[in-house]
Amino acid sequence: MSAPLSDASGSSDAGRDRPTSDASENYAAEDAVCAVPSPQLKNLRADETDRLRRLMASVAQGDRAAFAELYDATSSRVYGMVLRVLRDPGYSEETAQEVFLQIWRAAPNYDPNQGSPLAWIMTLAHRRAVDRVRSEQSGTDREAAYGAVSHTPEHDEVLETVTQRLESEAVVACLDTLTDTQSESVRMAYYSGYTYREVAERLGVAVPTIKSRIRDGLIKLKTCLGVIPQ
Amino acid sequence: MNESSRQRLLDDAEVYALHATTEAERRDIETERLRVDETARAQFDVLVGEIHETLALAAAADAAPAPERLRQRVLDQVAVSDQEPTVHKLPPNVTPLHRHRRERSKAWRYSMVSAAAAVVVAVGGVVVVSQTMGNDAQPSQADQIVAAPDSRQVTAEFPGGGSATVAYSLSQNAVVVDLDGVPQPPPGRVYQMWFVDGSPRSAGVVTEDQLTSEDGTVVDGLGSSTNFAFSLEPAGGSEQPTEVLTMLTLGA
Repeated sequence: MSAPLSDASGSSDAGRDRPTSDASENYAAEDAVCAVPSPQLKNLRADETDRLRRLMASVAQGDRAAFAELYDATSSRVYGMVLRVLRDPGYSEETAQEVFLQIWRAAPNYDPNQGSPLAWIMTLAHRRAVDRVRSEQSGTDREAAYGAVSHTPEHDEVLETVTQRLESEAVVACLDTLTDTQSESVRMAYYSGYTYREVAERLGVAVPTIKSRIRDGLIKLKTCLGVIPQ
Repeated sequence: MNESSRQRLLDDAEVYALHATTEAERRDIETERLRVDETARAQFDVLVGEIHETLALAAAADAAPAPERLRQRVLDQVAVSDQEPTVHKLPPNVTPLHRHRRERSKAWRYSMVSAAAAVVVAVGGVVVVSQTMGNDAQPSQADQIVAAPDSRQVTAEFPGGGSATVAYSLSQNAVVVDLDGVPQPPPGRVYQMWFVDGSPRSAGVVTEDQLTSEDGTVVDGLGSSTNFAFSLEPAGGSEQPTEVLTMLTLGA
């Protein structure tokens, strides 16, 4: 059996009529209040994207001062995400350093048509963090990585801009629209370095179920955050 | 492509975007992505792109201050580090080549003759025709490679569809690479060419222009290579091939 995805926002999901194994939990939280980003946040977000695009264009030309600005604009997000995956500050610092060097080296080949600069940077950073956690840590070390949202005590102090503060609030609110099982599956798949098959095994759930939980969770998050194709 | 391979690819978009696959699974997905038709490939790319945009926004909730010393360390390293060459520009040993394509040369000549004939009709002079044909008589480097007495040609299918034809000549010490119907590589990745003589030696990355153009590409430095290979690499190319897509044997 298959059910068309009833998500109203996802033009990209049109025609994707994939079988789901646990339709009952698909939209259990459909009526949860979704924190549609405020016009203010949307404007701030667009401004930041413009700024990062300009910086990336300069960095692509070899502008090291622009690179320093790019570092300042993104380092807490890169380091924070890497730390969330690796959990070891030493490894995280090394990995973040590798990420920024890679950003510098590859900047001439960043293609603005393939996504926002932030998505390019965070994707690159996540890839490296996952490679590192898989090579460094044993399974038991990774167990807790996908746990509670990482609101460290200093979290509020580090948000460099009002944009990040508002964005952070929106993310927390949007994560609430996911069911517990969706949230758990997405977090474990994203933060632990486990493959989806390992996630399924650890949670004692069938692989197709995990995949549909991840898919449905991400669709909700995307919709709630008002992600627009770049 | 059949419907089930399209479904399978789209079904993997999320775990691929989350880097929640094994390396082998990732390679399979990227190969599958090259196999499906353009519509399915575009759908897959949009799904993956949207997830990456979503997670980039979500990173605000994980933000944590990087250690102070990291900034200076990164900037010091960047101060002495070069950037990758832009793949959209031609590497120094690769020159674009115009109208060498043999399969199309007949059609091209035919249309040139037609154009010339049209000029003949309009101007009423035979001279125009001979001048036009005369310009065409200057052999390009690719024509020289193809026309060399020791010239050979090999063709191989690309796993994602399309084919690569390599004409090579030892005496010219160069090859002409012609890609036909090869799909775009996944976002952030490029095709790279290799001369293989025991060990691989980069023959440059395939530029956007080379992929879409109907013209071929001359690559110098054939040397004593026994094979010519294509691989899929991260943007900017690699020192060594990581994922070989197809390898052609260059016979004597």
